[in-house]
Amino acid sequence: MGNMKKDLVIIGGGPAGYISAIKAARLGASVLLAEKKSVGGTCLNQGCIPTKYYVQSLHTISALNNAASRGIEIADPSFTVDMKKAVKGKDRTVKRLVKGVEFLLKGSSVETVDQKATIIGQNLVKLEDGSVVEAKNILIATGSATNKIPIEGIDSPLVVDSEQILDLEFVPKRLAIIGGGVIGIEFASIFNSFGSEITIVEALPSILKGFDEEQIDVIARSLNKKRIKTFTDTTVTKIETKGKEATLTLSNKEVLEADLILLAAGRVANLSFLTDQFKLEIEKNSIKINDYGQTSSPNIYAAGDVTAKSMLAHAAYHMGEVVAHNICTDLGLINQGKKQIELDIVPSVVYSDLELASVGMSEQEALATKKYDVVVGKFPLSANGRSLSADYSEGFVKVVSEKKYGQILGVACVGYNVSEIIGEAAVAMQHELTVNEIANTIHAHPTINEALKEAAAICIGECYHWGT
Amino acid sequence: MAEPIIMPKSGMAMEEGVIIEWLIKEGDVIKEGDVIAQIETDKTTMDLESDLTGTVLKLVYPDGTTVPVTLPIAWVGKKGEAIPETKEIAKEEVKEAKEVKETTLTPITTFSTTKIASTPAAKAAAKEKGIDLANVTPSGKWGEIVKDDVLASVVKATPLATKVAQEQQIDLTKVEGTGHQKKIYVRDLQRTTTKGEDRRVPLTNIQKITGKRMLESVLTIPQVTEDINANMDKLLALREDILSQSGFKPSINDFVVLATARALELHPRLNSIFDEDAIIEKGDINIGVAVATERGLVVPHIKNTNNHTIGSLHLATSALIERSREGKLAIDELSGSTFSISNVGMYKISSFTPIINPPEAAILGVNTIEKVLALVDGEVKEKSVMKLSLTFDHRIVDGSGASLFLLTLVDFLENPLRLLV
Repeated sequence: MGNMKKDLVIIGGGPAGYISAIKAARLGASVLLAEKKSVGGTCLNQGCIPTKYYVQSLHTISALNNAASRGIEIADPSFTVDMKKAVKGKDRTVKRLVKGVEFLLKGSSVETVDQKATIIGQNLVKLEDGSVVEAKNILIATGSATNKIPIEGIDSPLVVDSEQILDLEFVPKRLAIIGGGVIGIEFASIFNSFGSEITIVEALPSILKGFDEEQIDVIARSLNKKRIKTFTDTTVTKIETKGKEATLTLSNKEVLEADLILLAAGRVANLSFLTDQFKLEIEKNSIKINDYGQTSSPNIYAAGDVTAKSMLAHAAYHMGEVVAHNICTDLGLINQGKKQIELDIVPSVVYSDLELASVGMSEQEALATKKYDVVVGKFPLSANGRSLSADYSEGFVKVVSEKKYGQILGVACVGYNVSEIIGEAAVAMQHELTVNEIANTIHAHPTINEALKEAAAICIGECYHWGT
Repeated sequence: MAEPIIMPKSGMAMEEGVIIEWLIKEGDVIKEGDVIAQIETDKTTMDLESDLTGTVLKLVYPDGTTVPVTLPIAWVGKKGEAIPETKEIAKEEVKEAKEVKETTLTPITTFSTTKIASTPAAKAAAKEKGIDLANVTPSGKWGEIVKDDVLASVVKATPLATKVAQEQQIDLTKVEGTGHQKKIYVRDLQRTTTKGEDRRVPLTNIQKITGKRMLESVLTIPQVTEDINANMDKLLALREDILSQSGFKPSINDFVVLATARALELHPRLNSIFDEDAIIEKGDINIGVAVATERGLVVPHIKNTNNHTIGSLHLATSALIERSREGKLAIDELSGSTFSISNVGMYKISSFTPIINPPEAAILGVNTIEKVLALVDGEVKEKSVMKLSLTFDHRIVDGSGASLFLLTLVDFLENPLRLLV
């Protein structure tokens, strides 16, 4: 590839990178996107999507287990999971979505190269083949990589990360998971349903730290019911590997045996695009940006996980769109003023058989601010027709509001399919609807979604499907 | 087809109106809502707004004519279109127009009983939008409400913002929204003053940092401020010369910044930092320029200020100030200054005591230029004088050192050609 000039060179084709490539190109910028692996990033290739494929297998297994109680007689109810086929099925879904992103990029006239790229000057990006691209603007969207933590014996071949485990071709008998956050809990549920014995070791005092305490309680009870063992406030001090078996020594002196260890200790920004020739300001091991997405070099922007603002694909989409807008403003292609990245209201979801979905403040966080007269409306899904007919009686939808105006401070849900509710809650919060508007909107029946209406109605004393 | 504009019936008792003045002439192109004439009724004077869009084909009556209500006073249509035979058609059209007018003019009672002066178009719009005219701020020439006032009073606010505004008695019509199509969000309300309630305005990060640094400065640095006057006559003349010969006009501040950089070359002690048991004279001269922005005060610097010419400095400073206001400063532009300048001349300030930007040795305050009378060779003459206020760290430099620096600086400003060579 010869030397060339571009309005915008994007390093990384994950959610932040590809969305800004498409937007900037559609606004008239000449865009080059460098992605060494496949577009779609961690989310599509090694994160959100492949894990959701396996979560659906989990639901299929639950359905098989519940079939008899529904009068569905299966002649031979035994089953096993063929991981080789499972991986192939997962790969098909991923491939189809990757093709979709490639199609969008091509259709928007984004030039893509499957090469690594590094920044060698304020306006210079060097590709792996040695060619140098002159860029008016550069967008760093290199995402993140799995975090490694220093534990004696962590280099064991039996230790895999959350990306490697997706291509596992067998179901381990005993799986130890280091980290009880979002990733750890999702894989615990998945491999538990596939037949593994699971133990989770979490260093913090609680699994899923940051979520509402009542949500965590429901999940913790559910893990317990499935005989998934959880150690909190505990670290792994040593891993000893003997052949196909590993022994983990914990800080509480317990000893665990495992056939496979999943290291799920979060993710860290990927800074491999930086070179000695060009430096950018780094803060807490991630790229420092201002509200407009600019790094310490004003024509170089960054978005997504590499900024460590919020390591979620949908946060990356937002950042990518804002940054593309600002870059096109710099380029004079649009003239509506720059936009700021706003990450105040970002929903988050954890998937297992029960889902956990949140946006805004938890009840505990709202109370801790001491700024609000907090009113909580909590509607149990045991009173929701849709949830019960799907055999799920666990969970709730909780609206955290304040008394004076009915402002919604946060929504926390846990239960069957609650991930699909959280969008409405985010719209309400972003656009300042109060509990009154939610309570006075007709919601379809029977849906899980109507539990949000009921929870909002509880806040204003107008729920007639719960309470006395 | 040409259509008539009629003398409006504004109030049950109104039988005729006077065309005080036409504000349009035949051949003008007008659109609905345009004010076309001033009309006097028995109660008030008001703007007559057109309810038609098109070319004015005919003004039926001249200024000052008294016309019975509902009679056509002007015709509007396509250019060159014929006006219907005035007598015959007028009656028919008037009848139709009258009916229309009467339905749209229902708020007339409001008009006559509450005495809110408003144009017929305004009333119609108010009725359509369900707006109480009492809540509309008039902008008409005689204090009457025009259609635009009604439309402007249709405010869109989020449910939460509406409630907060009600509770805090904030007039939403005075709030500018930042949402889609200017929808008002709670954050927009915080920019208006609320009645009777104290307002807690959180500090921006920049304000927090500035506050901390300023406090640290006054608590830990023995600071002295000295004032000196500079005669700016030659510099002002030179500035005009540069403008007439090159077309660009460096600011007074550009000259002060450059003169300071040159003076610092000769007085490195003022370009130092205090470091426990030593003074570090800095190798580079990077002058920081204080810029007030919406988010607070920032002091970006111009690297190696002394290497600039007046032209390059002007460009560099202008760009720096623009980037500061837009929040686009690079992080390395915000740290590493060795001396700071704060200019309040544009606010007509004649003297102040700037606070040192730690760990620097001094900060120069630049004031306004004042014309004063002075005795020159026994004669009273006018001269332009600018006061410079220098605050310095007494641990780094004493009064004599600071004064010598100021003398050098004034010498540059009073002999500005030296800055160009």
